[in-house]
Parts: sequence; C-alpha cells; structure tokens
Amino acid sequence: MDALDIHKKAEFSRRRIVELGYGCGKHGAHFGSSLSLVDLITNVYSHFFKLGPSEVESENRNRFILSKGHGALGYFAVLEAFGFLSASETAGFEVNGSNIFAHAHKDLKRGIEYSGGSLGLGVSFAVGIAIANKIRNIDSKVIVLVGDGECDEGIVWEALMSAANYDLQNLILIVDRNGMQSDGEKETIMDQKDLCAKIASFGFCVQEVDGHDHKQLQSSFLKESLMPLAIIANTIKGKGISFMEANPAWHHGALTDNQYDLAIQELALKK
Amino acid sequence: MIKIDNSTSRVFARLGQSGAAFGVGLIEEAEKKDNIVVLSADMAKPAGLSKFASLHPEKFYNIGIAEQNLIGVAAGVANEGFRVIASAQACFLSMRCYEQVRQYSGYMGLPVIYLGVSAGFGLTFFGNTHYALEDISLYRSIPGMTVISPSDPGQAIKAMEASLEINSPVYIRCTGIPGLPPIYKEDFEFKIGKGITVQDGSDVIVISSGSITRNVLDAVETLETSHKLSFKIIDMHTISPIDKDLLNSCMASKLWITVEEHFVSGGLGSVIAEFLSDRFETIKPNLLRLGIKDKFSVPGDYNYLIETNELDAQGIVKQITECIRKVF
Repeated sequence: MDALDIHKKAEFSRRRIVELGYGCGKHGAHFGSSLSLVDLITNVYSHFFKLGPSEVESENRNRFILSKGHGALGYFAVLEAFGFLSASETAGFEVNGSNIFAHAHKDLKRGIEYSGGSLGLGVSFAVGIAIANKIRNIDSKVIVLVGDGECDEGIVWEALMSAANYDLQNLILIVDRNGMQSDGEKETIMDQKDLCAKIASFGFCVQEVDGHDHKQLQSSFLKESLMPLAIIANTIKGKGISFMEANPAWHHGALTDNQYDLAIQELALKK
Repeated sequence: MIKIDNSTSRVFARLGQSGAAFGVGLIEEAEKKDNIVVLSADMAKPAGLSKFASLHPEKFYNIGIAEQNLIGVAAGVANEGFRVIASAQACFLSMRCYEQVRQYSGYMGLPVIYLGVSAGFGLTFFGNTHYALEDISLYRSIPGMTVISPSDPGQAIKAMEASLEINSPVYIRCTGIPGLPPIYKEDFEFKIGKGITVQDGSDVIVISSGSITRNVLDAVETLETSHKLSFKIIDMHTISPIDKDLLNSCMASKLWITVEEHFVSGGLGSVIAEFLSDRFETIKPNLLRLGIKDKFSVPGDYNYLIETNELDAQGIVKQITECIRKVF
C-alpha cells in the first residue's frame, strides 16, 4: 500500500469517526482518543494485515490488540476502511443490542481479537499470545496499542517486564501518547516524566515517532532488534478536527448539528 | 486416571492438596497431553511445581510476583488453544487479580484453570494478609466459573484431571496442610458438579467442602453417640455449579448444616442458603452455616486457627449440638 492509499484510509476513517460518533447523539463518543490513534491503527493494518479479512482465522496471522479500549470508535472505522467491518455493521455503533459499542468486543470473524474496556489489561494478554506463538514456532507479530494515560496502570509495567524477560521479539508495543487523559493534561495529573527512558529501561527497543506521520510509522515497524519493540507515538488528541484538537472536553463528548457540519467541512478540505 | 488406594492416599496426604495435584496429577496429565502450559507467580516450589518445571521447561513460565500479569499472560496463552494452569497463593490469586479473572475468563470466557495454593488458613503464622477466606465468594461470582474445593489430596488430583477435560474456567481451592489424614482410602468417582455422599442418613444433612471435611467426619461420629439422629454427610467438592439434584433429595430433612474453612458470608453456606431461598415452599429445612465468623483471626499454627474458629471436631460438635436442641 503506498503513502497516498494509507492517507486515504486514514481520512476515510476520520470521517467515519465523526459520522458514527455524531450518530450516537447525546450519548456522545470518545472522539479525542479515536482521532489520536486513527493514524496508528491505519498504519498497523496497512503494514501487518496486507491480506485483509481473508486471514482472520489463520493461525499464522498477525494480531492487533487494542488495549486502549475506548479508542474503539477509531478502531471500528479503520476496520471498515480495510474491509473487516461493513458500513452497515459500523452503523450499529452504540445502537441497542449491537456488538459494536464504546469498547471493542472480541469477534474473530471480524478480526477483533480482544474485548477491551478495562485499561491496562491488553498488554499482558498480548504477552501471553506472543509466548504461545513462540511455543508453536509461529512467526507472526503481536501488536498491542496502549494509551499514555493507560500506562498509569501498574499491570502495564508488569507485562512489559515479562515481555523483555521472555525475549518477545514478536511483540510490538505502541503507545498513543496524546498527553491527555480524562481529567485533563497528563503532566498535571500524573507526570510520566521520561516515558521513553522508562520503557527502554524495561528492556525494550524504543523508537519515538510522530504518530500522525505515516512514513515514520511505517519505517518504525521495520526496525530490527533482539528486544521487543516499543513505538512511542506522539499524537494530538482529537487530531484533524480543529475544535477537538488537544481539548480535554472532547475525550468523550457529543457533537451538535453545527459542530458536525463544521467537522465534516474541515475533513473535506484536507482531502 | 489416578487410582486411590490405602497406600497412595497416604502418599498423597503427605504432599498436601496442591503438592498432589501438581506433583502427581499434572505430571501424569502432561504425559498424555502436549498442550498443557503452567504459569506460577513465584510460587512454584511451595506449590509442588518443581517437577513439572524441570520435566517441561518449555511449558512452564514463572511470571514472578505479579498475579495480575500472571492472569493476563495465562489468558493470552489460553486464547491460542493451550490448556493453561495459573497458580499462586489463593489469597492473591483471588483478590489481587480478581478483575483480570473476571475479564479474561468471565467476560472473554477463556478456560484457564486457576489453582489457589494454601487457601483458608494454610499459611498459618504468615497472618491474615495470607489467609484466603473469601476466595469462593469471589470466584463464584464470575459467570461461567466452576469452583472446586477438594476435600483431600487424592481428590485434588481428580479435580485437576477433571478440570483439564472441560473447556471452561475452573478455580481449584487447595486447603489444608500436608500431612492431614486422607478422607478417601479407596478409589471413588469424581464428577464436577456432583457431590459425594460420604455417609448416608436422613435427619441431619451436613454439607462440607475442603479439608475441613475430615473434622466433620470426626464430629459426626461423636454426635451419633449422643443423639438418636441419623446424619448424612455430603462432600460438596464443587461449590459452583452446586449439585441441585442431590440437595433436592434432602429436602425432607429438618436440619441442614454447612461447614467450610471460609468466611460464613459468600461461600458454600451462602450457596446453600440461596438454594433454599429459591425453593418456594412453606416447610423446608433449617440451615446452620458454620465457618469463619466474618472476622480476622489471631495467627497461630493450623490447628490453633481451626480450634479458635471452632472448626475442629470439638467446636463443630458444640455448635451443632446447640442447634439440634433448638430444632429437634
């Protein structure tokens, strides 16, 4: 997939985030987080899921675990962009009785590997899959995406310690570092200081990238190391919609009709 | 399948419940099945896992003192089709990582076998931080979770074997200390969800689980000499799902008694109370629930803790006698 295609997939996904989130009405949706990680997941799918939905049941498939469960709206949008979910399925987002809601629910037929929601729990799970693949000599990657806020959870660090201990070269950790969490700016709530140094000290090969730069992301996936990989992706919460960018109010919010029109116009201009 | 006889029962008794399950049952099962993976939270040696770890180093992972990660990793490995046994001290395996168990085995349904070592008062002088007296209550609240509390080490082996045959999550609660006399000295059938009638009777039904069942047998022997009543003793090794058929067959009795090494709230006694509560009948058995009376204990050796909580044979006799006076 070339750079233009990746860009198109990401922009399609951004538009779907706005449309589906707007469809929730007053319930609102996690716009900020979904927009910060949409470029990350788009690049993961373009690089690690080249065969698309045909490989969802293959034992040798790469696995993507969205540990940052509340980014699910962005995840569903990307899954639609790559053909894992249909438009009618994503249209069920937060509709009563639908399996497509604020946190992704495991559904292998649609390529969803993990039931997210409780922060911090996806990394351990990914470590377990990476261990199982080593036992079975399956040569594939397990990619797990966490938020920087999520890294407040102690289990994340237990899992990182074990990933390095077991030399899980088949594991890739991506941190969506948008610098914000529910109550506001990360630094003012729980300052992680030098996150890269912390993760490196746990035995990871750490790369810091611009999480909205497709080229940097693609090349970060190619890095070869004897250690598990960690990609610290600096992102902007709400990226792509001016009034949402770096605005903690949009961690979870509801779009008015005017705001929806404005958001769609902004995305159209970027095309 | 392990066969219990007079000789093996004594050998298993010396190993204790987890020692027998891991040191005997697991070793045999791993010879037959190549998809067993075992994880421990820095508790391999005391749990009896050293032999498995040395025989199958590629199938053994010591996650360190990190029960939450233990469960997450276990779930990830189980997700790929392996039969995974995750083991730690019962207090931490139930409380420290409760949400992880709920998430991976409850919500996601992954069939991990959780083996809690030194449940109840097993860790004696380590004190209340190390007692597991609410683990049944916690585990049975997770939808789809089977909860087993074996009554002796031979049964713990059978519980391990049976758990590996079903494709759903199981919590095995290992109680007692090595060296307690065995209950079963000959072979018996063990089926998950089917209680064992150790002694038949009709006036008083004593329902017990775990190694404390040994004390129940001794207590009933004493009670039979002083009361003209017949006692039925049920080894209710599976607490969830409870054996409703067996309980339904006991409804004509005037008194049911539950005995467990667990807080009175939330464990076997509560399961039986819920069962009776759901029976819409005007006349039904009275229920006496014996266990740890929802308080922390002053530490001591195993016998001290059992005695001060009136769960030794004498304490059980005393409590049941008081109740019999009221009911009969």
